[in-house]
Amino acid sequence: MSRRLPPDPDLDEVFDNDPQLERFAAILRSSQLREPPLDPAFRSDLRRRLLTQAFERSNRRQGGGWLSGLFRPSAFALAAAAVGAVLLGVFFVQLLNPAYPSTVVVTTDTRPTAAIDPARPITLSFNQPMDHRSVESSISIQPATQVSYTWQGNNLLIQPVGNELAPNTQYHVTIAAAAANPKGQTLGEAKTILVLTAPAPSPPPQPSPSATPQAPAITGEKQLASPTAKVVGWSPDAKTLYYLAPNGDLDAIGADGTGYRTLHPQVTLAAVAPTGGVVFDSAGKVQTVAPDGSVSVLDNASADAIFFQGSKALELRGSNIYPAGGQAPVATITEPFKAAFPAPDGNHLIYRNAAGRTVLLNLNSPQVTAWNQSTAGSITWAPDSNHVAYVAGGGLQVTTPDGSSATQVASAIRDGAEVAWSAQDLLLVTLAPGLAAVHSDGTGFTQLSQQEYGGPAWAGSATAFAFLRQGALSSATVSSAGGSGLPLNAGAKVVSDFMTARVKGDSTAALAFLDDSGKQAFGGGSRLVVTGDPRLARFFFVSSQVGLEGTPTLHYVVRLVLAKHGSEIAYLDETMTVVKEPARGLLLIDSDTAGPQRDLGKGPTVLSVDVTKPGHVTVYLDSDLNAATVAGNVALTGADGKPASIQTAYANRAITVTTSGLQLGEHYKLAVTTGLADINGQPLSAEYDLDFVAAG
Amino acid sequence: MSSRPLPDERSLVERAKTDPGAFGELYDRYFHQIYRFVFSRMRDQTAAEDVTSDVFIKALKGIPRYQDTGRPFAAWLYQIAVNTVADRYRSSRPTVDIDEMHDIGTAGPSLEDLAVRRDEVRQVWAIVEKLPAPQRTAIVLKFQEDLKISDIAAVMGKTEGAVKLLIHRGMTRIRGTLVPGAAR
Repeated sequence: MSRRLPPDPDLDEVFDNDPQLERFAAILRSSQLREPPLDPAFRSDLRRRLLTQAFERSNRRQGGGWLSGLFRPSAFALAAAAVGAVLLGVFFVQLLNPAYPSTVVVTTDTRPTAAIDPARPITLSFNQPMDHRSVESSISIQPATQVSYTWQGNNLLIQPVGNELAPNTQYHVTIAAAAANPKGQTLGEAKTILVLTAPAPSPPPQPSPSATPQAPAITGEKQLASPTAKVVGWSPDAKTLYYLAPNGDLDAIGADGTGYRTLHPQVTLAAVAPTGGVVFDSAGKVQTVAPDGSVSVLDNASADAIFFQGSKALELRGSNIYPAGGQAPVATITEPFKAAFPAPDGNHLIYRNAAGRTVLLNLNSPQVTAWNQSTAGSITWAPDSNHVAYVAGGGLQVTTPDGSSATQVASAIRDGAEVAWSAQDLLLVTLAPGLAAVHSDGTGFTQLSQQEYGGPAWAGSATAFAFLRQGALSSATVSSAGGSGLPLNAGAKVVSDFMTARVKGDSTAALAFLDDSGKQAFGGGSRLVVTGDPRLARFFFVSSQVGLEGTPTLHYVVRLVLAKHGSEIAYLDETMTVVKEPARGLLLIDSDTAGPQRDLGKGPTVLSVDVTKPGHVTVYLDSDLNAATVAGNVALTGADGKPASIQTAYANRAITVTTSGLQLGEHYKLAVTTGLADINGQPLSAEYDLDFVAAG
Repeated sequence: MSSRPLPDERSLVERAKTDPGAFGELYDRYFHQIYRFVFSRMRDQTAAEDVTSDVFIKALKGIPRYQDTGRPFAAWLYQIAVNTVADRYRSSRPTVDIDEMHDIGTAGPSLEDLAVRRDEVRQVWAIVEKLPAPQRTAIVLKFQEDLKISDIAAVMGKTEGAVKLLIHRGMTRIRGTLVPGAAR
């Protein structure tokens, strides 16, 4: 395609009639720069700031001129010649009072989109002295806030009474046209200054129900049976404990200490089946006892280890792994070995060969992978079979099953320490003496006790565990070990990065934080970017909590704030669920539910809800409230639809809801209704509802 | 910006040295042009707002010392803007894709032709963005902002010959990228 370049003598020499260069120049000149997004508030605000600075400079210059002119002989002579008391009077009035520019200008030192510390006052700067009472009576603030005023020269500092500004809030400070200087000159037209506040100091994720960030602690310890030689394991429903007595009996007892019974004598090894029942070796035979107590023989040969691949029992016998009762091995360890550690899913086995080398064997193929590092003690598999833990070098190491990514997650751990890995990613490790807990990423290391806890074994619920102490079988609960087991902060980071990409309009980057289900929730990506006017200006966290025990999820309510011309006019809340992608272990957003769009500036708005404290729920609002409207307009309803008995207290824009009736782990619904009103009588803009799980 | 400063601009600039109101008029006159230019370089609204603020604050501080050399006042603002953008550019990269910045100027051709031309425009501007900074600045000021070579020279503090050379080298590099086998 040829294109003629419009005549531009400037370029004659540059291209020297080179048609190709002229063509590219024509392309460049034929394009037009698209109109950039422009915030009119920014334009007018910058103008005000510039004019204020210009006026101040002009005033200084005029002041200097007056002073320097005074002492110039000619000026002094002129003044003396005039000898007019009136002139002197005018002069001294002018000298004692700063100049009054012809126009009253008010500005602020912040921009509508640049968040300030909520502890900082809002500062209004006038270009000349003002009548304080006139200005103060002309100011209105939205959201409704009781404030005090402090003047510093021509600057007015506005501070909430006895409190900071609300976080995450855009204040509209309007100065009415009647605001005047002492000469009666008014502002002329009302001015609205927008001031945005930053998030509260310890922002996004406030852990909630059974939250992992709380330091775990051992509670509810109770002795169940004695004497005991070895813990076999918990039933899948965590209601029964199986153990071996010193005399070789395979015994069972209820988790509550009742229902003791002997299942079979002379048992040498046993394993609890994932589907219930126990497979054991007794008298040279592999047998199984069903939950109803019936015993059947699986194999007329003795086993060195028993484990499961799904519901199928496998036996390690010699160097071969057989299906229980089967004759053909499914896999073979091809070298002498000293110890073997089968994976919970039964697809792999780690063994230590005679030379002390650690090797991963894939039971579904003859593939073996030798570790680079040596191990000595026991190797504990993660319940998902994706990682293992072992003690080496004086520390607890966690690595992938092939040993390729060992990371020390706890130090000062002795050789021979026993480890139990919960389904919620909390590792118990025995000390000498004592017990510690740590997450597999090395976070949250806590010494739980200095007492003896031998052979710890987690229940499936991952809050209760069994252990041996002085030959007795006991159980206990680790508080805050439950919940999703996923790190709330890490999930918040994912949500935050996702939302940042959306605010930037970068749907490609945002998509990377979604799993397949999440992409579906956002219409394959089409709903990711908020287009048009108003635009998505920012976001913040309203609440966050870990999922129910046994459900590895994290839940966040995120507020999307929509702005038009720099003024925030509406919002909508999105509830997002974060899960861990099994394949890569990444935290991804799995679901999103958007609430209705609400207007801002139409009354008090709930900013955040803290459901982290047992028996307490705290609701933070953006407005100072009429305290008399609080009672009766906040309600808690249980999953059964029955209202909980609550007491409410109000202070500093926060409503604390107290109740003794919350059941740990139970679902509740918080409702803040529109009878709630601010100090100006404006009712809550819309009823606010939040589903949450009671904290423990 | 092909005309010399009009007398009213000249007197406005002189008044702006002492009269805040006159500076306000200059701001009104040039805000959009400067903001548009800055945004095209920063490709991020917040960054563009910050840089534009800096440009006009610097202009306000510097205007008492401004000397009329016969160049348009806008050239002086561009000079401040180019330097401020360069300072900021070192610490932050653009976030809006260059593809979204330019479009063809006029409608009229067929849709197919329009699509081809849009593609050409995007390709060429994408290469401009990768040129060495002096070449890029000279080409942007010439083809996007429509400044005269002499004004670009003033903005960049170079001779007119040097500016022409920068543009020639930049255009030759564009050709070398888009036309296989063409001399670089």
